[in-house]
Amino acid sequence: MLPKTLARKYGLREFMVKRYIEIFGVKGTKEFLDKVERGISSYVRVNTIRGREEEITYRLMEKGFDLKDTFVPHVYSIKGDFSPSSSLEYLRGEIFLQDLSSAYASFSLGVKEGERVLDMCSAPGAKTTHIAQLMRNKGEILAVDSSKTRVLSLIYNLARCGVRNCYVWIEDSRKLPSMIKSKFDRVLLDAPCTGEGVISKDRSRKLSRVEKDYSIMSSIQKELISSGLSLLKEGGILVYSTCSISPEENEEVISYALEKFQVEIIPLEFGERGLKSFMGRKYPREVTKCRRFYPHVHDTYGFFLAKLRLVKEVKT
Amino acid sequence: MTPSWFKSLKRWVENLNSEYEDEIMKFMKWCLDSEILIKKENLILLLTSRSSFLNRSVFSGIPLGEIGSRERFIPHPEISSVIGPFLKKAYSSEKGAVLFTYGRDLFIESVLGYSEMPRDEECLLICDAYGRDFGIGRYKRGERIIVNLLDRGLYLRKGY
Repeated sequence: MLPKTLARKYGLREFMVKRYIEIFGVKGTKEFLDKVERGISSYVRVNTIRGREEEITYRLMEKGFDLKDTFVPHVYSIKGDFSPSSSLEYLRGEIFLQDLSSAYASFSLGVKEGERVLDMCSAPGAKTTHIAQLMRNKGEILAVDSSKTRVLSLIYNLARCGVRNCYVWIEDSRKLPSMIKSKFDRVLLDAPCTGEGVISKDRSRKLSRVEKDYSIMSSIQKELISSGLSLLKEGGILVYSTCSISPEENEEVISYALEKFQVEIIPLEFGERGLKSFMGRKYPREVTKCRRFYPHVHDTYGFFLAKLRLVKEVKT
Repeated sequence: MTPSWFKSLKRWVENLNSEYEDEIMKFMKWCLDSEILIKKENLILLLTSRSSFLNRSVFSGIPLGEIGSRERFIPHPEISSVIGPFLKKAYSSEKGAVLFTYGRDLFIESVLGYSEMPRDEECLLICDAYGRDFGIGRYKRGERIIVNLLDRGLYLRKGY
């Protein structure tokens, strides 16, 4: 009866609550759902392409914003009387509103100046602009997204943030291996997902999904990760992330990559371990090196992250 | 042959009534001849690097504006980073700069100073006290205002 009661209380579908109980247990599920209702902290990333970090943070604090350091460089939790998105700093691209977990994904990619980077599902560009910042606008980023509407937001975010080393394609990233002959040093795949982790921001997600969506998304994600790994140089890095906590979209996709490609998982410092099993399905032990973020534990959106190294290049 | 979109851009530059109009156009022409000023779909882009990815790209570099209906050039806020060095500057108070980014005109009372005294009807780069630019406005001496022509608030107003 408990899943039904919780589903009614929080306005969710019952199958979702059952899944949460499997991941968090009953107590953890209540904490998770309470936090989702209350919402998480806001975060900003200071864009060092546009100015010096000390000066930008000083100006924000002068305007009454309270900033606190996080474990990701240049990213701060922010509190204030008005939204930072209406500040002059935002309009000049000196700051970007980006969740901590999302910034950790782009940071984990470990880009260096002068490298070739592929961002496979890049719109609206939070991670793309972060990667450009970390590359100090040097090297090249190919930012791809299949939605023309979303690409428009990407273009304006790149412009606002002063990104100069990015090329934008409107394309389905699954088709890229047949279009690009050269390989990349690093690939970011922030895969399209059910968005279960961002319910606190988008309440419509509470009821907009049905159970079979997990398997549909999982198939697409497996095709995308295959495409990304095919385009990677030997020894290259692929970071896979989703804003979902569903294991079908996360551990299952990484298990698939481990089975089909010669890859290894590189452990990351922050976040909870990946799951070993879920609803009777077992995942390889190595998958625990992946990282999960939860609203009630990390004060971020629900998020999944895996850093993979390609041991042997795929012949295309 | 000069493309028609470049003529639209030229008309927009002429309308700035800047003392440095010739320099701006010489620079733009050089960019066009060097094939770093290009049109992709409706966007006018100033390329900052070259790559084999460019052929299929819908965007790269700095967007200067777009070509609207009847071939009219509609400037993008980032054009100020390209033509800004050729414009005189008006330094505004914080409040004035904020209102300017709401699409409002700038009252002369909000201007802290100028890099050079502007002529009547001349277009200026609007900056805050730190020298950070927020857009372009036309100086109207008689009306004691700087009319908003373009500002960075567009990023919010357009919902991006």
